[in-house]
Amino acid sequence: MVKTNLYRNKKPVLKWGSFLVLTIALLAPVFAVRFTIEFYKKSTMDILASKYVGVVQKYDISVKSADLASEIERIEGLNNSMKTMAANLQKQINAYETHLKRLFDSDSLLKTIFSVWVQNSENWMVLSHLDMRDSKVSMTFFELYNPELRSSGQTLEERLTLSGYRVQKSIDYDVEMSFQNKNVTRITLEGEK
Amino acid sequence: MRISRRLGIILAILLFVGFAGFFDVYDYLRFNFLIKRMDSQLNVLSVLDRNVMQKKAYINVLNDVMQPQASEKDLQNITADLGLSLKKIEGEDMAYKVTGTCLPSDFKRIVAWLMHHGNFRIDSLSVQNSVKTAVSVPSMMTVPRISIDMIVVGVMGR
Repeated sequence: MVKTNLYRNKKPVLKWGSFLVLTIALLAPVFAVRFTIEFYKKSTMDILASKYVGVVQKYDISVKSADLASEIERIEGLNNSMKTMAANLQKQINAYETHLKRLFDSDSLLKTIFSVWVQNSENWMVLSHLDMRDSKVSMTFFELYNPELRSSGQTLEERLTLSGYRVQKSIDYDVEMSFQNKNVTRITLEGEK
Repeated sequence: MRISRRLGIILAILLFVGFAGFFDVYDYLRFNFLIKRMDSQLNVLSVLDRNVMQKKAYINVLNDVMQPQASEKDLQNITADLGLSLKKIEGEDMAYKVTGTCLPSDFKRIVAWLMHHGNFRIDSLSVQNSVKTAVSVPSMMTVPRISIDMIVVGVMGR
């Protein structure tokens, strides 16, 4: 017996009821959006405004649906200018930090030298030559000192060693001056950090 | 009543698209897209804003460390006062070459002045005293002179 397929030649049709169900199923979300969109927009923007309340107030940004696109452009422009500003500030910070570091180095060296420098009746120092460059220092000075007390040249050498310099000291001469009960000396110090 | 299946489906979709257009559902999609972009831009803005504020506060702190400050004009005045020559080094920001000879007391004065003002530093220094001995005999001695060759670098504060 031949099995006949009754649907083979049937035209595919849609019942009116099925068409309605299909249409309503498609339109339901459209209506859902239609009646909730205002509320949705308002609440979304309120959340956004409260999330960034600081910058929104500071830069006077209006969070309204009407001018959202132009406002975004304004924020983008603001961001670009802030980026260049931050880069400039960073440059300035770097310059200040390098300056302060070097300032501290050179100042502390000069302070060390000045704190030791004496010119009184017991001890008299005269600077002959001072060279200070990068982390190197070299100086030559004359000193008239009482041999029973310690010479300031020695103190200076110790202070420089304490502040991190490798010091080389060479005494060019150290002569007794009997008529003054003093020694006269010429010292060269060379230090490097 | 029956309609062709293909026609029915196409009709339903057309209705869907038509209603969606009529009720501005596309606006909803556009709004979503914009709000996401605004969120990310505001996020970037708040990060940058914080960054800039912190940097400014830090610069203020550094500026306070550098007090008191002197201007370029002050440096010109003091070097002119002591008879030293001041030359701006080309290509560098606020770097000067100070050369000349002066009295030892004047040398002390300019060094003390530079150490007092936080925004100037002595980058390199080379001085040479004209005296050859430590013992001074007033009648024989010429007045000691110090020749200075130094590079002063400054930064501009507030």
